[in-house]
Amino acid sequence: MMRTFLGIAAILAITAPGHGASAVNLDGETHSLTVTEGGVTSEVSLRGGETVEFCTNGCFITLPNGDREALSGGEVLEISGGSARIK
Amino acid sequence: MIRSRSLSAARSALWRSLASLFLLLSLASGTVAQDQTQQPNQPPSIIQQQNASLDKLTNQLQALQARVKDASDDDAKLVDVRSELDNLSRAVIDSGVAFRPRLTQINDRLTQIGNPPAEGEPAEPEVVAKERQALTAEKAEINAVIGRAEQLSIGVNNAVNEIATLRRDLFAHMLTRRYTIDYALFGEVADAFQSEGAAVWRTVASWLTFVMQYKLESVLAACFFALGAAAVLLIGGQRLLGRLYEPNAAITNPTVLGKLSVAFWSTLLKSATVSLFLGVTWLFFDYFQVLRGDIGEMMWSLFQVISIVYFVHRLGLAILSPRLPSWRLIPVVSRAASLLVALSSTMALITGLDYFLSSVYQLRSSPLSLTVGESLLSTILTGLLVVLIGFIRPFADENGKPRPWPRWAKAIIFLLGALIIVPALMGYIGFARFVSRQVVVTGATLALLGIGLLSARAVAEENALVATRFGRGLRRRLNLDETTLDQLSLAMSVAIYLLVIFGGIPLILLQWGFQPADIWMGIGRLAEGFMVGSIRFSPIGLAIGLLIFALGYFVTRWFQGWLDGTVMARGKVDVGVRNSIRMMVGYAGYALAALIAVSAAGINLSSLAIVAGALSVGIGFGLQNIVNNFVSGLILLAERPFKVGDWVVAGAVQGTVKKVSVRATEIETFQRQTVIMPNSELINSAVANWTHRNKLGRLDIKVNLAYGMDARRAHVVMMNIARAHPLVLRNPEPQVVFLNFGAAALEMEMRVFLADVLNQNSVQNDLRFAIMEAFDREGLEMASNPRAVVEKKGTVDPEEEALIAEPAPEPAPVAATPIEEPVSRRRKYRS
Repeated sequence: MMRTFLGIAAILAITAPGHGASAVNLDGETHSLTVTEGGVTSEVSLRGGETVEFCTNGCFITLPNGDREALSGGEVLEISGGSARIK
Repeated sequence: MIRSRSLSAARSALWRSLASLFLLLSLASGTVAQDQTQQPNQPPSIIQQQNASLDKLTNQLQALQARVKDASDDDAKLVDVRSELDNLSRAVIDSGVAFRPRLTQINDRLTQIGNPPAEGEPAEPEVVAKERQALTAEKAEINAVIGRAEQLSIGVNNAVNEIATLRRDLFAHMLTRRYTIDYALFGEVADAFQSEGAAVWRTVASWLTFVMQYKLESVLAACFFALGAAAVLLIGGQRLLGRLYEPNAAITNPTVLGKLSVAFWSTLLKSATVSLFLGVTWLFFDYFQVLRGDIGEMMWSLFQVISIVYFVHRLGLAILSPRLPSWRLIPVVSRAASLLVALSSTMALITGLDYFLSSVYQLRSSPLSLTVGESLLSTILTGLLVVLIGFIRPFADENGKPRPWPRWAKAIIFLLGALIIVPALMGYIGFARFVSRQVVVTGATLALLGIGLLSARAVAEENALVATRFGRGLRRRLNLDETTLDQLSLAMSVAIYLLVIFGGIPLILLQWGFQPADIWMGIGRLAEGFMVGSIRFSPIGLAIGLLIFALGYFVTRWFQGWLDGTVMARGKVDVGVRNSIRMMVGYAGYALAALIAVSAAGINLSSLAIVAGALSVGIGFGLQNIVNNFVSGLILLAERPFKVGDWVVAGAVQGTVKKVSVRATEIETFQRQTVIMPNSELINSAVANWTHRNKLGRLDIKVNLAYGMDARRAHVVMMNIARAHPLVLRNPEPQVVFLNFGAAALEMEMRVFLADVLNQNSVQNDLRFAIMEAFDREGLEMASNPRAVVEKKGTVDPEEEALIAEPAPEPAPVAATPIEEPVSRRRKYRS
């Protein structure tokens, strides 16, 4: 019983709504994004050609060129030439 | 690596400084932007709209924060606020997302205009410079508003975290708070109990007077309606369930399933009746405005307590059945059964009363000492009851005498009792109360789940369903055979398991202090999906995928059937072609359904492709044969070198083709042995097909004529026989070929063509008999090795013996029709 309970609790704990946004860096060099998600601000750095999944619950990001964007999840952020486009 | 990082850092710093430069510029040229944005007749711009909505959201957040402060000691209210905060957080993000179309427009336009000319380049037109300025200004403004939304979202999340902390503290505080228990407390409690009791009594009495004077008719009507509703449920239920709702004393050995269903229905029906009666009564009281002030709340909690206590009591009776030992679900002795029911019902009653009284105290804001004293009493009583349960001797030993609980069970029971009594005596009333409630309510829930699991197991047992009345009825009504019913019972058992698990877990979670809103949120998140590493797992998606696959499967089956049975059958399509098309359509349909299902389940096909690519080497080696067979099967279906029903010879296997599937082909030999032959073998090596285009076939019969016989005569005789047989074709004409002057015989062969080669068995029998008989008549002898003559004594009459001694008579003239000549035949065999 306890094990079931713990299992469920663990699942609930690691659970986060789906539809995460993803960012892909099409440039050769590393770019970093500032992501504010769940009240916590963090830097996400993307190497050239790397794709990162983040922002499972909606978030705000600051792009390399200083632009801000809000993401509701499910978007694909393409960084090329230092500026970003959202699809 | 480091270099590229520092480079990018420098680049981003450059971008930032550029952005701030743009910001400055835009501020400087704010008038231009304002001119553009603030036209008198224009609708409010997106910035104004979102600013307004952010103002509203900020106010909401403040209101919610105030509510958190007010409700910091009420767990349920905190949970409410939290779910509202979740909505707020979503709204804040939406308000940020609302800028995206405009931002995209601005960015696109800025890209079109390009960067301002560098020093030394020719200056750009003023219009372009102005537009760039305006756009950058607007962008900066939007950035500022999004920044505001970001701050707000941080505020919302802080509030959510605060609530989590508050709730944790609240729970810990409830569990760890210590009240002083001494003589003074007892005095206080006695005083408070008297005064509060009197106050409550006054309230109740005044309400009763009010009811008697003004609302008597309403009360009677309410009671009447409630009784009516309860009676409808009870009588209707009894009618519907037959004798299922109570154990039948006449049946001495009921099945497990019978016991379970009686336990389940009797508990459900009776408890539901009582709950319905109380619920309807309260609703009508409320409707007729009989309830005044605190009475309504008090009555509601009293009714709840009565329902639950009654339910626990009925559950105990149903499981332990003290009066009818044969209907007992758990094999305890009768005395222990009655004791257990009594103890558990009393425990439920005490816990229920504690709950009711605590809600009364809360309503009346009674002194804390009263709550403490009353809880102390009730928890200690519950603890004592738990300990008493540990002393019961429930089970019978080999001699039928009661024996105590197993040691581990006893240890657990005593430990639980101690966990309630000791903290209560030490003053940790909250903790003791928590444990005692858990013992009662979790115990009841677990008992219920136990019944569910037991019944799932019982249903799954073979022939369990067939033995019940429900099963028999189902069988009669739906015309099912026993196997189908058994499979149905298995499906039912799985359904019950799922129901028990998915119904039971939330019930238990509720007991463990989770709020319904928490559970809903959890379920919602679980259903939406969660990430494991970079793979998203979504139960709903998976379920949808499965559903789509099932749908695709059935649609394919139906389409196959329709195409085969209606279209192709009416179109007089050849059976083999029909079979091929049917198979192809089936495989294509299943593959399509699987593909759609996989993408509906949210599994990314491109990631599968990567896996497939990595595996392809392995597949190349390991699954080579399977793939080979699979492709061969497709070729067989398309090329159709043979079809179902053909007589084929493949290597050592000869028989009729029964089924051509994608990996292998089933061939049934004439001995009725089924040979599963891999398709690749049928493709790679020669396959002889007797019935490929038509069923015409040649039958060869070898005849060895002894030297010294008339070969021409034999030829004529055989030709006549061949022509005379009705199944032998005239065209192509039958032939008799003089094959060879063999070492021991003149070798001849009769070759006849048959319209249906499948008739060859009967034809060759006929022909051989006819040849032998004709040769006998004609005195033609077949060559054979000399062999011993075995004569049975006393079976040969003297006349015959004389005949044997004589030389063979002259052969009779050719006769097409065989005449029986037993004597000469016997002689020939012995020569």
